[in-house]
Amino acid sequence: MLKDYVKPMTGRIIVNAIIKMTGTMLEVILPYILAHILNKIVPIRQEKLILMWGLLMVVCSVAAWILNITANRMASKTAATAIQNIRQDLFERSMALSARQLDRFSVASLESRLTSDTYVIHRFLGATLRMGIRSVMLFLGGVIFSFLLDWRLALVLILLIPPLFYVLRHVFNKVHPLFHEVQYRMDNMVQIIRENIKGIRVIKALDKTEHEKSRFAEANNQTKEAEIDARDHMAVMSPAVNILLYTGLGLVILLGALLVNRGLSQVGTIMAFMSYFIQITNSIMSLNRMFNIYSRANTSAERIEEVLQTPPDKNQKIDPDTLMDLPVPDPNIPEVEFKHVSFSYLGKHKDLQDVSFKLYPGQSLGIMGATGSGKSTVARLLLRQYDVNRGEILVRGINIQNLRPSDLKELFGIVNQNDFLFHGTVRQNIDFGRSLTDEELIEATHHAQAAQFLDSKEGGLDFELASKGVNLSGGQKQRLYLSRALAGEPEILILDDSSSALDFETDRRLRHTLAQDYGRTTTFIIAQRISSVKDCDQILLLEDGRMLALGDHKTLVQTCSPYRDIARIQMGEDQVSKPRPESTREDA
Amino acid sequence: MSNTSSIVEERRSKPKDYKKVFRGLAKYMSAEWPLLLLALAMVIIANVIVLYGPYFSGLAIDAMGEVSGEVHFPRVVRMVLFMLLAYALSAVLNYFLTRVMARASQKVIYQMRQDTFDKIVDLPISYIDSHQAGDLVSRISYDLDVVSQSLTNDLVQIVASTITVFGSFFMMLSISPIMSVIFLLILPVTIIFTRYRIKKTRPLFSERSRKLGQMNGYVEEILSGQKTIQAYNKQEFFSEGFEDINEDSIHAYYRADYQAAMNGPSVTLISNLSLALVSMFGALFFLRGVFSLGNLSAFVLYSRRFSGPINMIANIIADLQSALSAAERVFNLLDQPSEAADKADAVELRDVEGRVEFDRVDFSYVPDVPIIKDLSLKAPAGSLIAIVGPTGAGKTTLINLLMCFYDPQSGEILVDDHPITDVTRKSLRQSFAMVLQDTWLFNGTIRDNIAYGRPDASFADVQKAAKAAHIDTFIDAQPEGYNAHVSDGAENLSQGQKQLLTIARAMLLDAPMLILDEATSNVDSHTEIQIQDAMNRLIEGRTAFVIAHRLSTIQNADTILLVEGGEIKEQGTHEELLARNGAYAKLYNAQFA
Repeated sequence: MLKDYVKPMTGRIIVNAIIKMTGTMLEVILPYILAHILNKIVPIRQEKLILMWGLLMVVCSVAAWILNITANRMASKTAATAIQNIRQDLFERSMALSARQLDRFSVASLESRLTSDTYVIHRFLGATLRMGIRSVMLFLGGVIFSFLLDWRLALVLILLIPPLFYVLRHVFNKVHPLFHEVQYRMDNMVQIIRENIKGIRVIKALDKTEHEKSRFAEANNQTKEAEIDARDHMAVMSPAVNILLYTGLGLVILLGALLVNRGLSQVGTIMAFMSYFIQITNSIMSLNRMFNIYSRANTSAERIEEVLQTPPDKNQKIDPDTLMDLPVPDPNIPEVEFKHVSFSYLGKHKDLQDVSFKLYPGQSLGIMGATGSGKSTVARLLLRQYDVNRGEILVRGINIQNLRPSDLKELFGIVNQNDFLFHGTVRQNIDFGRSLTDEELIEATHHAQAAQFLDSKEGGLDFELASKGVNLSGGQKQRLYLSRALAGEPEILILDDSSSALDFETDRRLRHTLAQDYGRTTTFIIAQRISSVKDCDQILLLEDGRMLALGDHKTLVQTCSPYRDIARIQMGEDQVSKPRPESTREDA
Repeated sequence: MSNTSSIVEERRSKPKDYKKVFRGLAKYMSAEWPLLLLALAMVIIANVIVLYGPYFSGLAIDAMGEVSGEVHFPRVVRMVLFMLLAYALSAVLNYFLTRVMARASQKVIYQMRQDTFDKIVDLPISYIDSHQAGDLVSRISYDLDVVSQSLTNDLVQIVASTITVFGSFFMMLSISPIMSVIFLLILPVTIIFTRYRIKKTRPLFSERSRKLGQMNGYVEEILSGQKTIQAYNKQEFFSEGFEDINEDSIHAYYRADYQAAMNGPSVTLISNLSLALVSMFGALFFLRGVFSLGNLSAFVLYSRRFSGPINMIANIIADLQSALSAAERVFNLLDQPSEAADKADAVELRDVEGRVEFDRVDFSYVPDVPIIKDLSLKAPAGSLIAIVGPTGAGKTTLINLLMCFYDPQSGEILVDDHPITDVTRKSLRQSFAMVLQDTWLFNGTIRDNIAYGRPDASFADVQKAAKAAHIDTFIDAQPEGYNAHVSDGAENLSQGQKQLLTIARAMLLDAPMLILDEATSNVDSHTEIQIQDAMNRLIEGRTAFVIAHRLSTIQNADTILLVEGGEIKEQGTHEELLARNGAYAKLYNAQFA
């Protein structure tokens, strides 16, 4: 499949290969010329001819140099072009993966596929076009010329190739798992370091530093032993190859001496032969290296193809027959309705079970529950990041599976738990590729309570954010997420744990602004604290994916005992029974 | 510029203080001097012996004579055997050399790794807090690995290559001084050419790493926001952004490759040119009778050996440079002062009752940004101090001071009337139990994790602590019970269960004083009630400093410290603070009411 990226360049690669082959052949011919000089020219004592053939060798060398450089540069270009396309497609495919697919691959794994795997392929492609063709040519050329020089001596060579390959592969197969072991030991060691840095307070508090040092010493020692073991086995490789090679060379000289004595061969031939001998051995070594690179590249290619070949997920397919247009909001039709929705991420555990609610335009729904109770899942299903297993989700009376994804997504403004800022200006981060006007952006920052801190930053909207927004505080980041969500004038706003890092004053002002300026916006507030949702029109209490209760705060305190328990823990006994202040938001 | 690329940038730089690095390396290597000396002897002998290979094969060729029938067989066989002996001896020596070097370098690296780790755990907390964990980890995982590779391979290579170059030249000189002139010309040309190439390609390669780092940074960043981007339907917008970055990095790669494309062929060119010149002049000299065919053969083989190592030395120098700067980063870390030792006359805290007093304490992490100003506070034994405030830094400062992780700039903290700077750190820290919200478990069994602070505790005691912390039912439900494996990233444990395990650890310690970070309610209500109950038991009878999120804890506190914006704003009991109608009252009304 990755072959498809190379295919359009077939012509180029063939030209490249021809240039490379020619260049390499010009080198391979040199010892042959030497044999010719010694065998044919020297006996007739023609100094001029010697100079001429010598000059020819120089010309061949220089021509080979130029051709090889040209071929190498072409190879670099070919590899670069292919990788650029592969990487671009891989990135685009990764960006388009459904949430479920993304979870399956994991972001970290996609990252390493995009970076180190494409890098491995790049090196492999470059190396094949440069070294691979060359090694094959050196090998074949060497074999052909040595047969041309003397087929009897060439047989010695042929005899030597199988044991050479055997030694190389044998050592490789043996050493390969040993280096895996080294890596494994190394990872263990690194884990101990990480643990120690993270738990340094506990370790010092409990006076365990000496204990940790000896724990590390053990892992350290295991790494050392594994490394020595691997290197011990590796140590055989090059001496064994050399002994084989030079034994062959010795045989060539001995056999050569016999042949020379009978007048069947000449000394010049034997000398040239020795050159080919070394050349062929070197080419076998480098073919072996290519083979190792290849086996790594193969794994990388599979990892890349796995992503590229992932078909669109079920929830990303649109059936044109059932497609419907999105109507305008109607106060009598629920803006969002969940009808007996059940859902499971992995198919075993039910993450949501039979959840139903109706939310009319402009109303707000608070969703409460412990971590893992399914709060965020409600939002994800509404956004069609995942599709329900059972039941229906309706927006303005239409099943969201019958809406264009672009229509659906335009409705929403979302602030996620772990939302995302990228390296760029504040403006780029809020605008998010939507080409909003400055006025819209500024208004959004005011509403999100971000304007004030932005004024204090150099450049205001043009303030440069570091990667992931690490040069902002948690509260400042949250206000930028909010600005982004509000800037698109969303009709449905989803706030998933979005005010946890705001100080109480800012939080209060924000809630006030939302009530005042976004009164017509249908709002979902997902929270862990009762104080964040107690003013919502409806509160949905989830436990383990099931609806425990649905109603406003007052009703729930009276009728739902788990809700009352949470309220008691969070707010204290007397607070729960106290009368609540009137909601600031009017019901729609 | 992204983080990754600046790291790459840093790794490319030359060491600043060669002297220090060499001194440091010399210290570690001198510990293994017998092995290293043995290795040096082996590498010299092996490479000198191998130089005789072409010499003997040349003599074998000479023994064949010039026309058929003149072959002197016994001599040919003898020379071939000598040749084989030379190659075989050097091969065997090389085999043992590799094994000796593996031991020597691994022992050196072992010690460097151990010292680096020991330093990391001995560093003051302030150093750990102000440095990225990944950066510290990479001292061992990356930097020392580079040093290790370099020690194992480069040292041997550099000696071997030097001997090969000069030895080959010397052998050629002894065979024929006139022919050696060819190499006398080629050698400087090669060196100048290689140096010029390195100068030219080096910046291109660091540019390539930088661009690659930038691309990695972009990919890492944008992919982490994939779901958000899809929610806004902006995949194409960011794919277009990637197009530029991808193009940039590919272009930088290509530019470096374009120049590097010359290196391989150029080395071959030099080798081939020497072959051509040797062939031409060798044949001419042979005609004039000043040069034998065997000499020519030896020259051909030497010339083939000659050009490779020169190029290799150039590469190794680049490798060595990055190894030296890696070593420098390690030595810089090792040079950091460790946590100061206890005072010479420090006393051991014994039978602690748990009276804690802050006396006019001033503290700041960064000069001129005071965190604690003139804090005075008396906590009688068994009292409860609640620290409250919105999320954000600041609340952990008190813990840092109490545990002597940081020292106040002025004022004193006293435990049982001893200034904590006058007691041994060990006894001070052991009189506290700590439960932090950022739970910490290490890779090991449940039992080891609970008994971490008291490894001598009996199994019954461990069980008792687990029971008190309400985690016993969970542990018993594990197939391996107390021997079940847990780790910090363990998927089989919920956050709440991790918290309960650390509470059990604190229970087992049975220290007179307690530092507690209450969990926010990110666990289900059942677990939350259990945690709450376990914490209440833990607090009982101990002087407790609690970072509090619950109203019940706060209202029962003897003293409340309100921390906001990183400094202590108000101090008093619940009633006093409400009556003051200040920041606490506001927080209370907004967050708890």
